[in-house]
Amino acid sequence: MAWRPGTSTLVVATVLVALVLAGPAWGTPTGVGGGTATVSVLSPEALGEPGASGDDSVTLRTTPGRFGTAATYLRIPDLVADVRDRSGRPQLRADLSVDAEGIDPPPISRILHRSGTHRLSYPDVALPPQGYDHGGTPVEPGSYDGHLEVRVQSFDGDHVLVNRSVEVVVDR
Amino acid sequence: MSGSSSADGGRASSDRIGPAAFVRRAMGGTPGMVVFLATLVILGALWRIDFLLNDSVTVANVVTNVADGRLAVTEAPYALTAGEQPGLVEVDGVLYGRNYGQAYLAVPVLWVLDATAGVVDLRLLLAAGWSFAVLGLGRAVGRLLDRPIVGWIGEVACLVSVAAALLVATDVDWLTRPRPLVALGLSTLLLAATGATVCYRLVSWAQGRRVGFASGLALAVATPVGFWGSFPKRHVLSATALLLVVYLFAVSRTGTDRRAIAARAGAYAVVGFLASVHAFEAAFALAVLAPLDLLTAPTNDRRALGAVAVAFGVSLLPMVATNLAISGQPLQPPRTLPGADGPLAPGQAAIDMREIGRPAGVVGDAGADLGASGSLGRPAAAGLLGPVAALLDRVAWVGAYMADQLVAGLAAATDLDRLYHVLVRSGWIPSVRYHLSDYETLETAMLEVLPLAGALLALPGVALAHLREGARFERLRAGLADPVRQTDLLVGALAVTLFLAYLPRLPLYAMFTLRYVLPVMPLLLYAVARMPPVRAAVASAPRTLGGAWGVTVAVAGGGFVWTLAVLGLARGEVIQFLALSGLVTALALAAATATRPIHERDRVVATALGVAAGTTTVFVLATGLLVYVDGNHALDLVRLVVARLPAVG
Repeated sequence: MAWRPGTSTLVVATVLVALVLAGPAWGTPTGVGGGTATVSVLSPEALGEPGASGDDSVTLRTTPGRFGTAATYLRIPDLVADVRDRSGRPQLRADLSVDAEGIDPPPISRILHRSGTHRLSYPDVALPPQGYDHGGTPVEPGSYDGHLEVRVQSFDGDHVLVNRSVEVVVDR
Repeated sequence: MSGSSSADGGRASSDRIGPAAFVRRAMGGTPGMVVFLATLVILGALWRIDFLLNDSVTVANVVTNVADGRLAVTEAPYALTAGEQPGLVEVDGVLYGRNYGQAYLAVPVLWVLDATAGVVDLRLLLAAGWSFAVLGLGRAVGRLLDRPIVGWIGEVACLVSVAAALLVATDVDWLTRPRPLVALGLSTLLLAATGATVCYRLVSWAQGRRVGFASGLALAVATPVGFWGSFPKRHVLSATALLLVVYLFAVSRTGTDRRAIAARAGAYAVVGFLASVHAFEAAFALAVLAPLDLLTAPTNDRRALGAVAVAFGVSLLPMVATNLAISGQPLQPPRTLPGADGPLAPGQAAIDMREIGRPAGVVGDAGADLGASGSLGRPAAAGLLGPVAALLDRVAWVGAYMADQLVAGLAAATDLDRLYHVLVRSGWIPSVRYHLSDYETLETAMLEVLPLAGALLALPGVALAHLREGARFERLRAGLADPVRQTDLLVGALAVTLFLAYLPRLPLYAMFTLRYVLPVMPLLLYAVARMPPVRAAVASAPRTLGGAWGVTVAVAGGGFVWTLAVLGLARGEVIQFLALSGLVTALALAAATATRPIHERDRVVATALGVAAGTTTVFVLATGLLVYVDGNHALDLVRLVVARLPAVG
């Protein structure tokens, strides 16, 4: 009996032909590139005023961990931004620095590959419970100065969007 | 599907078979194919091209160098410094890695990937591979249910998936040389699917196909094997290897023909190869396998023992050759040599990695593994005593080390606080150095991530009921001549030995789901499947079991996403939320199983099994899609879906 391809064979053959036609460099880059974008911060609202200079301080308070974790968390609200007039692959980057050893949130960033609303989620920062003595840097309860900077960056330029002080209150 | 027991499930009637039929036979027939492909499809969707732990950086660099034809790590595309590669060792100024056996399995995969590099885009290749698995799964399920339409749905899904991938494909450009890491991840994925298939075949042999099928799928989606299958760690390899050892042991108990002898030799060969990945795990496995094998084998004639000796000797070659080339000692693996720049401070590398912009969530290796770096030192006596004496000296040292570990394990087993945190509830464990995981409570206990093991809590009651039904000592002794009982013994001895060997190190940071004892978990799953109430429930109420699992995944999964969106949970809180859910369902399963003689309803046990399994599936999905993620999924389609889900704080 002569061999006749089944539909699965045809599907596999079609996919393989498509792959070869697409070639070895079909995927688009994901990293930061050139370009610009007009960005306005929608949330937190306190950051959204154009030209905000840093007079109105934003306050962040720690809250206890839940579901059996004894850590205390500094929960940093998501940054929601509206992106318009975008070209290329600029990057939105937020960096919160706190004047306290032991509180060191990593900067967060997102490639603006489309216009519209973008949400950047800050990972919550866990702080040890009092009495933890296995190592690391303890953070005493109190109020600490912080600084939040939000930028739009690309190989074509670097624009500061938000640059203001933040108060971080560590409760236990 | 029949409920009959079959050691060679799906054996074709014809002697001359084609490649497709050969693969199907190796998988144990169509159900085995379904288990294998379903594991590939589910864990493939969760697969991230990334490191969860930074000792995987070392192994990925080893793959790169082995593929280039050398054991020395002279090229390190995934690290800038030695400090970023825990497990890197230095011998006479030359750097080497560890887990070479794991790299040896990944290198053929890398060759295939490299061969296509000039023709096909890497992302599209991965998408196409996954889509082919979807197609194969559709066809296999269609064949299993005798419904060709399922096969056609698989074909359409394959085409749609590839078309979508063509539209949204991105580069894997966060890595300068992604293919070695992709090969390591892909080989881990294939090993997880192999483990699930071996689990299916093993439990089918002992309990019938229906229980075997459920167990195979459960291994992939209802145990932490599903968690580790999508990261390039060695633990899935160890787990699959031990399952294979048990299955081959089981087959070898059933006769004295060539097939049985080949299976017996194969069990030793797997242990021998495992030694090239983790020599101490292999040594413990051998210490359990060899005496039980000799005591329970149908024959210990010259032909059988000769086959075992030859297979074991040959299988040790990868380890012996690697060790000779690196340490100059056949029984001194790289793991026992002093680390590059001295033993690395645990966690130090994690900090280095974050500073150079590696994804958040990568944490340092615990550095407390069996035979950890520097624990043995360089050989000194070889030149004085001669090679044979040095070898015997080394064997004696390994034996003494293992005995020490087991004595320490027995002592640790009397520490109830430790057992509570390892087996029952994690929470914030006072002894764990949480600063090495940024104070996040990521560690979990056994019942929290393997609630199916909750059924084992009912084991004393089940055993008592069994005795009341007339099991007497004489019958038990006669029962030990039964291949299934002999296999039970091997499973129990392996599980207890490996658990005790690692227990003194636990609880520990960077374990996530007690990863050191991951190889024990499939053995516990086998034990659960062997329990009469579980077998009865799975065999008589499979729809209840599947329905309970599906409803749990849908409701608990949806509830979890809703909780995440409303409460804005941090990583440690998410893990503890899921862990508590697992513990509750484990206790419910224990209660349902223990009270089986009272309620006498298989559906109650089946429901509890489905809920417990579903809870772990939610854990596997949640951690794979939401917690340990950073835009690094292998499939672009999954990455796009994940970007629209609530983020973990």
